Parts: sequence; structure tokens; C-alpha cells
Amino acid sequence: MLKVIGKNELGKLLEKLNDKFRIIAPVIRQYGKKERVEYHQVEDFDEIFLDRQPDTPPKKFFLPQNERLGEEKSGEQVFETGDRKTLIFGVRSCDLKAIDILKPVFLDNDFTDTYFEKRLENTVMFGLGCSKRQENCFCDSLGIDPLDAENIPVYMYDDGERLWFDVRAGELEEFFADLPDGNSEELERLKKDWQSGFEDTKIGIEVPIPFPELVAFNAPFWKEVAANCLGCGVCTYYCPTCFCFGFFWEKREEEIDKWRTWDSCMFPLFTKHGSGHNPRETQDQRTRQRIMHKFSYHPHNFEGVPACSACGRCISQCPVNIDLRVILKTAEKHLKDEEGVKSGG
Amino acid sequence: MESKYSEISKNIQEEAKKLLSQGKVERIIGFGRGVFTGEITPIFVTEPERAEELLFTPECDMMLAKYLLDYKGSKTGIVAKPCDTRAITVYLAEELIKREDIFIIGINDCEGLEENDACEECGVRNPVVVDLEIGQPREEEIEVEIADELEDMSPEERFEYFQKEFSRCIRCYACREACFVCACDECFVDSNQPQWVGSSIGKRDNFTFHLMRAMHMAGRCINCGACEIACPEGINMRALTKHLYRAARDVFQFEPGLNPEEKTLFATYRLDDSEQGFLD
Amino acid sequence: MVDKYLLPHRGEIIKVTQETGSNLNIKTFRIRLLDEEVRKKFKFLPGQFVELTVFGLGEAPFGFASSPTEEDYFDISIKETGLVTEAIHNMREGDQIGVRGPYGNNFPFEEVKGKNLVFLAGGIGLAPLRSLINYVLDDKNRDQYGRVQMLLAFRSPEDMLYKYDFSSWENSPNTMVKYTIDEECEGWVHCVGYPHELLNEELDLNQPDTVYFTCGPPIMIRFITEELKNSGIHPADIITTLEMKMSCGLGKCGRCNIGRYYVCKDGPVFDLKQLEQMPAEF
Repeated sequence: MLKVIGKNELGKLLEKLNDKFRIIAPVIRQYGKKERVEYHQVEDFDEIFLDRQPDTPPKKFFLPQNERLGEEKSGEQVFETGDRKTLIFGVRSCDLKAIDILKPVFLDNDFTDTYFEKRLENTVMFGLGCSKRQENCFCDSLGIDPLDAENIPVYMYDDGERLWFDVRAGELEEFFADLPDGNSEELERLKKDWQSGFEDTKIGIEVPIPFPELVAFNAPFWKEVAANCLGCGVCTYYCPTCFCFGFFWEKREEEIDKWRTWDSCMFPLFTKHGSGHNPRETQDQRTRQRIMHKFSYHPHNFEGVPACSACGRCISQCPVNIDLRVILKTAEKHLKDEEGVKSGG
Repeated sequence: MESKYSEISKNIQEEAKKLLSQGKVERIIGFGRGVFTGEITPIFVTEPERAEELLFTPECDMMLAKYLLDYKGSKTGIVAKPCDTRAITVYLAEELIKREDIFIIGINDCEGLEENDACEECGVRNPVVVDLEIGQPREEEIEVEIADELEDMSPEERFEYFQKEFSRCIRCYACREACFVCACDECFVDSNQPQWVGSSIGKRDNFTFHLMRAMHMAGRCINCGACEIACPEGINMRALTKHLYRAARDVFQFEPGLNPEEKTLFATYRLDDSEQGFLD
Repeated sequence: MVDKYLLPHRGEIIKVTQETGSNLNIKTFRIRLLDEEVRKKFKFLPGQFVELTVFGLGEAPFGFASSPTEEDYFDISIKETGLVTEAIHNMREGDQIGVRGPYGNNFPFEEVKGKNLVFLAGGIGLAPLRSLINYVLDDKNRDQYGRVQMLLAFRSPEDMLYKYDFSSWENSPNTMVKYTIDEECEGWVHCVGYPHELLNEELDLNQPDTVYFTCGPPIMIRFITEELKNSGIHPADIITTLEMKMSCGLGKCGRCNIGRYYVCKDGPVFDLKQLEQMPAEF
């Protein structure tokens, strides 16, 4: 069903949903001079801010930065899911895709990650189309539709004045039943308009995915693209798909809790052996690992899908403005040249 | 205003081109602009034809001195704001780089940067060490004061303020990596034997990280604000370090990065040193 | 009931053997899982590894050093190198330790049935091979494999591991065991020199249908594999194990990968043909 309401009426709808769901939505937070859009649990629905992509991805609701796994001596697991299901409101196509990218990693047949699985089962996401390109994003270059997503119970559109709800899950229809119907032709016209805005600004990345492993690994450009990299973990911690982790332990009286925590391939300690040997000693090796993991290793292992949803946060948040698109373009040029050499061209 | 910066940029490009084509330097570290982002990004120019990519604007808020450590032993030119030259001065004083390895293209009459609050607390408008000056130096002295929001707080209030501020830290270490002082071969954070600080983002570990980092800053931090700009979470990074800057200045009459001949505060010991503690 | 992959089972140390002198300080720990149900389900294969947890301190990966034909327990040989290994070294019989696993792939002990086997070990690299050697030489399995040759290298006589196994290995049918140390020393009657220098003279490399298993320090593996290749051995017949910083054991946490392979899940056992096609990051 297609429904449409004025944006000022959103509160009433969320009020109803609030009985059944813990509602997480993008809100503005001001820290000193910095204005950020972040996902938080909302009580005051007027706070919700949908005008731009949130600065942080919703990854932490599936993989919290610090997550208590359980008590080690007893082996007792802890699952911290609340009384209500979680509804994450206004998740854009890139971030929806990112969760899809994480699924086969954590729900594999060999070792299903129960913590991720339970959070996923306990969460519903309402998608939100992008009526214009967001800062530094390039989802359309990786085949992601900024105006639609699969397997989403509700996908929304914001035309500035009104919010459109494409309700696809029967069990949620009750919340929308008494809202005014939307005119699907009108929505199609709007979408076409927005779509053309994306086409006008598309970069077009024609890099082969997966990157051919050895050719790309041994390519000469890694030092160049990583020359100004500071070696912090911002790109990985703001990435909606980066999932590398580590463990730490915390004593509570007699009990010992095992925690899982985000870790980053950009940190030297990540791969440093006890002996002091480090297979990824330098920053360009670590940058190579990050990019190769996303565009070569991961798609090799997971049906050609890169571990990147092109949200652009690694670019926007990088303290020295390193641009993933430039790295991909560099790789594109090199890998194409290499291809040309191979085919005798 | 615009013309001032395009003039500076033009001068930098001309000089860089000369230095590179005459083989006086192997590379120049400077500021350029991203193709897609349109944002300032540090670049490394090795060919004279690429010198025109160099530029300078009030957006150039990254500190470049730390990149010099990647090129020890090979002659490197660097486009330097006055604060960059202070960082270089600290490196020279700590003997981390050699004067003859670097060529400083210093920018005179710095008016401060757009996004950096620290500039309002900086009175150094001309390079401290320089090989080639761009623009006319500003002659008059500038009176500035470094705000210290901690000064009037009780210890309890300070503690509460830190807890609140640093609870947002995600331990991405952007502050550390952007900071020129943080140039240790192995940071205490990266030591696992012994492990000085846990990797959780709990209050205790976050607080430990920032306090321990701050303690290494005293007498070395020049209050350049790089940590604060780099922090993606908008944490008031300088709350701790500013306090120490003031303490070093008021207690020991020491301001780092003004004189390459002068040993840094922690590298000197005098019998008549005040015993006043930093945390008083 | 979902398996708890991220939290350990409890095991008890039932025997501690001091293997080497203080020079390298290697001890072998015999561990038995406490819970009977868990113990029954815990099936490992030669080449696999476990994560051992020192409660409250941390965990680290170790390869199995005993054969799965010994069912009630398993052996882990540990060199004292860091915090976790130091803590385990301080443990005694009766102490409890956390056990996660088994993880990783295994030596292709099924695939090499009927073939001749050569084992080339250096130092504690003998530990994972011991699991396979004891499996192959087990009375129940011995007739399924051809001739077995071993060249076991140690720094010095003091650094030898599993000395108590040697006579049973030497006395196995159709089995030859050679020992070497780095430098000549008094009373030593076996070979002297690095193993790659001794391959051709001490072993029979000309027999057909032979698979080579080699474990040891990376530099030794490199020289040995080069030497074997020079002798015309096919890379697919040279098998080794890789040591990376395995942590989760599940192929997820991201620190042990070499190219697309997660050493903790797709490895640690690889043949040289595979290694030659992987990015050189090990």
C-alpha cells in the first residue's frame, strides 16, 4: 500500500509505532561547533531530522562497538535485547545494503553469530530514498538504487513537504491503514526527477569487482594513494560494512566477562604477532588491506558483492580528506592498463 | 581577501616549481584540493609540472609537519603555516629531524584558519623557522589569551566534565594521528606487553587514554588544534592540553616550538624549578 | 541449542611435560574437557587448532600436538613468548583452562592414503606434525600409508621435543627417522646442519607418489620448499601450515587473512601451489 502524510503529522504515526517498537531515528546533536546527525532512540519525534544522511551508520545496532558476550568461566552467554522490537527509522539504501553485506558474514552456516542474528531478528528498518545525492556518496556507481531497496517492510520518500510510505509488509499495514492513500503516478514522477539528479552527478566507477587479487595486490599505486593517510581508524569505524573485531575481558568480582569490540585493519596492533613480527607493517600495506578486503577478497568470497555500499562516510569523515573514489579510479586505470597488456593491446 | 590567498598560492607554486626543477628538494609537502571532494588534502609533489596543484587557503587546517618523519634523510620541502613551523621547531629541538633535510616555505602574516578555534588563541603570525618566506611578515605583536574552562571548576566538576566529554570517544585515534607530538615509535596504546590501557570505549578506558595522552603533551603541545579538528565526534579535545599549555607557560615560562635551540620542557632539569604540580 | 562459538568450554590440565631446556622453554599440556557431553562432541583432526583461554587474561591459538586417535584428551605444546603463554606455563596439573574450537582445516590425511609421506619439521613446528605422525603410525592406520620418512631439526639436543616418542616412531614398520641440529656438539651421533641442506643426502626424494609435510620457522619452510621444488617435487605435493594472528577462529574478525583466505578457517594447512597464488603477506 502507498500512503502519504504531511511531515508535521509524522509524530502521530510514530506515537502508534512506539507502543510496539523502540524507535531509533536520525536526530541532530551539537558538539561545540560540530553539528552531527546521529541515530538515537527518540522520545520527542519533532527531533527527527531526515534532510541529510546521518554522519554515523546504523551498524552499531547490529554490531555494537562494545558488546558483552557472556561470562567466561560458566560459558553463559548474554543477549541484551530489549522488551520491544527495535525500529530504525529512515535508513537510506546504502545503509540497508550494508546490513545485507554483513548478513552472509555473520549468518554463515559454519559459525552463525547468535548475537548478530538475535539483533537482526529483533530489528525492523524503514528505508528512506535519497531525493538528492548526499555528500561524497556514489551508491549508484556500485549498482545500489538510492531510491529503492529489497526486502524492506516499509520504504519511505521525502519530497520536502510530505512523507510517502511504500508499505510492503502485511503485518505493519495496521499502523498505516487510516492514513491517506498516495498517488503512485505522482510518486513515480517525483522519483524520476530525483533519479535524473543522480544521473547528472554520477561518477561511474568501472573498476572490475572483484579486483583480480594478485594483480591488484602487487600494483604500484598503494604507496601513492596512502601517502597522506594518518593511520587512524575513522574510515573503518564510520564504515557501515567494516566488521573486524577483537575481544577484551573485564573482571567483575569472581566473574570474567568477555566482550567483543570493534577493531580496525588500519591499526598496526591489529595484526602484530606476539613475536613482534607484523605482516602488515606499514600504513600503505594496511590501506591496501582495507581496500582489497572490500573490493577483492570479500567479493571473491561472497558472490561478487563488494564490502562497500558507497555511502561516502570514509571520505567525509577522514581527517585529511582521503577519497575512496580517487583510489577506485586509480585502481580502475591501473587494472584496465594491466588488462590491455594481457590481451596484447 | 580572496586575492591574498590566490597570490600566496601563486607564489608557492612558482617557488615549488623552481625548487623541484633545480633539484633542491626531492618533494614538497603541501596542500592541494581533492578532485571529487573539493576539500583540502595534503599532497606530495615530486615533479615540477605538478607544482600548480599546490595552494593555500584559510581551509588548510591540517598540520603537515608529521609527514616529514616519513622522509627522514631525503631533502623535503614543506609548505608551512606559522604553527607548522612551531611543530617543526619542536621536532628540531627533540632531534627527530635534521635541519638540513628540510626546506621550509613559510607563510607570513597568518590570519588564522576558518574552522580552527585554536587560531583565536594563537599569537604567532609569522614562521618561527623558515627558508623562504611567502608574503610580508606581520610586524606588530598580537595579544591573545588561552581560554581555560577548567580553571574555575572544582576537581569534581572537572572530573564530571571529562567523563561527559570523553564518553563520546570511539577510540579511532584520529586525535593522536593528527597530532604532531604523537610521534612515538610505539604509543602506549599500542603496547600489549604490558597493556597500559584497555580497548573498550568504557569511561575508564577512554579517560585513561586521554589523560595519559595529555600527560605526554605538556611542554610539547603547541595548542594548534589539529586534534580537535580531526576528532570526528566533536570532542573538546583541547580542554586537557590547553590547561597543560598554560601550566607550562605560567609555571616554567616555557612555550614549546618557539626556539629550536631550546630543549623541550621534559628534556631539561633545573634545581630551581618550581615543584608545582601540573594537576593543581 | 546453538553452539557457543565465542565463549570457551572448560578444560582441565591433566599432565604437564617439560619438553626442552630453558633455552626455548617449551612445555606440552595434556588437556581434558570437563563436561562429558562436550568431550564427546569435541572431534578434532590433525592440523586443526584451538583457542586456549587463561581466564581473565586472554586467549591465544595453538595447534593440536596429539593424534585424534587418543580420544579422551589432547596435547598442546607451547613455547613461552607472551602474556598468555607465560600464564599457561605457570599452570599445573588440575588447573582449569578455557578451550574454544577445534578450528581450521586439517592435513589431508584421507587424501594421502596409499602414498609415501615425508615429514620435515623444525623446532616446535614438529607439534602440529606430531598429530599427523601419531595418527599415521597408529597401529589401526599404519597399513593405509606407504613409507614414512622424517627429518626432524632442532637447534641443539637440549631443544628437542617429544623425545619420548622417538623410539616408537623409529620402530614403526617402513619408517625412517633422521635428526639434525644446527651445530656440532659433543655426544651427538646424528646429522648436523640445516634441514634443507640435508634433504637430498639423508632422504630418498626420488620415490614416486610422495607427499611432503613441512612445519617450522618461516625461513626454514622457505628454504625447504625451494629445495624440494628444485628436486622436481610438484608444489601441490608440498604441504605446510601458516601462522598468522588468529583470534576469533571463525573466519570473521579479520586479522589472519592472506588475500581472500582466512587462515583460521580456510587454513592453517595449505599446499605450496595455493601459497604461490596468494598475495605475499606471510
